[in-house]
Amino acid sequence: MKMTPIQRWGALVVVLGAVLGSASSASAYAWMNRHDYGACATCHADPSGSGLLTLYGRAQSDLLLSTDYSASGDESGGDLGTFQNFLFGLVDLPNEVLAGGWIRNGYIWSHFNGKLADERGLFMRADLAAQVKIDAVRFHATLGVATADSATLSQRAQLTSNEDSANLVSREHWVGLDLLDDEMLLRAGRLNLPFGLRIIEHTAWVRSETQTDVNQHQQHGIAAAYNDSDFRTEVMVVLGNFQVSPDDYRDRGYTGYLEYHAATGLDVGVSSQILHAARDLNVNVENTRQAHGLFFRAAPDPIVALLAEFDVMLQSPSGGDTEAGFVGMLQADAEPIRGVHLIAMGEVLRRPQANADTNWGAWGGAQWFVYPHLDVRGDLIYRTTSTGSNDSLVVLLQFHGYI
Amino acid sequence: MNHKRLIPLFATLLLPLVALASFQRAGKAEVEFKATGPAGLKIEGHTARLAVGGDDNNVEIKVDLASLETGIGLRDEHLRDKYLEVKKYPYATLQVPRASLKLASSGSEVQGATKGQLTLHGVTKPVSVKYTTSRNGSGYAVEGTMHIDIRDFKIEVPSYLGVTVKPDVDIQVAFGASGS
Repeated sequence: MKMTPIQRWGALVVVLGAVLGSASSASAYAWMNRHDYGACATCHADPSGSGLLTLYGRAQSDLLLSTDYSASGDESGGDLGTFQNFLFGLVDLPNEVLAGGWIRNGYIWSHFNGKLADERGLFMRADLAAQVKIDAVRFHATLGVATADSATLSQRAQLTSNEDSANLVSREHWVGLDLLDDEMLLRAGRLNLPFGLRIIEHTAWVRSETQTDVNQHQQHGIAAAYNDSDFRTEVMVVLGNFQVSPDDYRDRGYTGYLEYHAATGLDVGVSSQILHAARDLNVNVENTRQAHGLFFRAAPDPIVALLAEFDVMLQSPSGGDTEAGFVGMLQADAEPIRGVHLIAMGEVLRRPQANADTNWGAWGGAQWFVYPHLDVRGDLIYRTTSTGSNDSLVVLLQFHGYI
Repeated sequence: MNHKRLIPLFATLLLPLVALASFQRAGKAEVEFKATGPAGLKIEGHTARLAVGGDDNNVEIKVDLASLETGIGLRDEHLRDKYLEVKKYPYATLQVPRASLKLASSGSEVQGATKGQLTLHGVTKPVSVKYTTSRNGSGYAVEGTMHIDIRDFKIEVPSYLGVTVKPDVDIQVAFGASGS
């Protein structure tokens, strides 16, 4: 996409204003397979997707994600220039260095059983990230700020522990070694957990209930990722989240996925995790939790993409029986105009607890990638139980900028 | 021996060759190339602009390279202008000796392998071609595959923003043809 100088500087002012006013967010768009980008590692430093973009990924953000304002609708006619680069090309980084920053802010209205229960501004995410590559070795870290209001969705990533004010967070920090012509990456450090679909909707039940979202559920460990044109996989030995203490709260075990590129626009995968903690943060007793499931990404044409995941969950708390539950989602993403997405998602959840109720969720929303690295989104999220005793309706507006 | 009685027999035996002598495209065609890069990168390019012809000795398949599309306009532009240099070399041409081809009889399918001469980017090199033909009435459905190393054709290995494509490329061609 080619923008006029006025458009470019307008976008710069908007995004920088947002950054200075607050901060940025990690993107994970599993529907990029509609452009036959089934693998994530070409565009992201994380081989399983989300977060810091490579130079190539930044270019795809311009070429494929954002609305094309050129009259012809054809972005060809010259190279991209540097606007999509770090800080809009104002800083020229060496090839060995990747850098970026995200801000995601929003406003939320929460209704329970038909009544407005809460409304507030959300400071959802504000991180900076950098990666330095020396030969085959990569050093990667993120550092951000989380407000006290967002503590419930960020506290497991905190580096500091202020109860009433902002905290520093580091969601990822790792050392990696590229092997096999960059098809394999070995990593050690704090990593996004490889499991299921890497989606941006971090509160979707498939991510929050399996504790594999990219907002705060990273853990320390060692992982091996492999990507070729037919398969992508990552398996991680989880050693625990060393940003929580004492050690009893830390999970140990494994988590991973394997995805097969079955055909153009069709990827199918399996996931598995078994994690044990001497004192599980959720149930506060010794616990082993498991999740095993299937997922797929299908893009029958570039306009429509379908994402689905279904996982069986097991939980074996000390002193209790092993309970089974399940969680699933089906999302349809339509892009009738480049950069404009209409999103519908259905969810189901039965927690692995005795006498657990079955919960249902329905999402409807729209997202507009206004310029490269600037998007806005609105969602309606309705969730209920089969008894109808705790229905909720959330209206969420958010914007996301990336530098 | 009554030589007149042999005429129908010879005619039957020669029929496929007569058909082959006027082999031409009929119906849909699809040319696809697949290239790969680091970390699972996959690039597929397509065009339907393919012509089938030839002379008494060879079948010729000719592809309009300027019509190749990969799904990203800028990438197509780089492909056409920087790597394939389509203004200088607008076509890729595959010539296969007629005598080396096996054609299916009606209602059947035949698989084979042969050698051909591929001209791409101004360079002509021998290539191995695997093909399948099936016949329905007077029409043929033809599918062929080959594997090339673009460096053999003096095409620069594509590299963009730190991502370098592997030089090995798979090519698939499918088209309908008539022998009438």
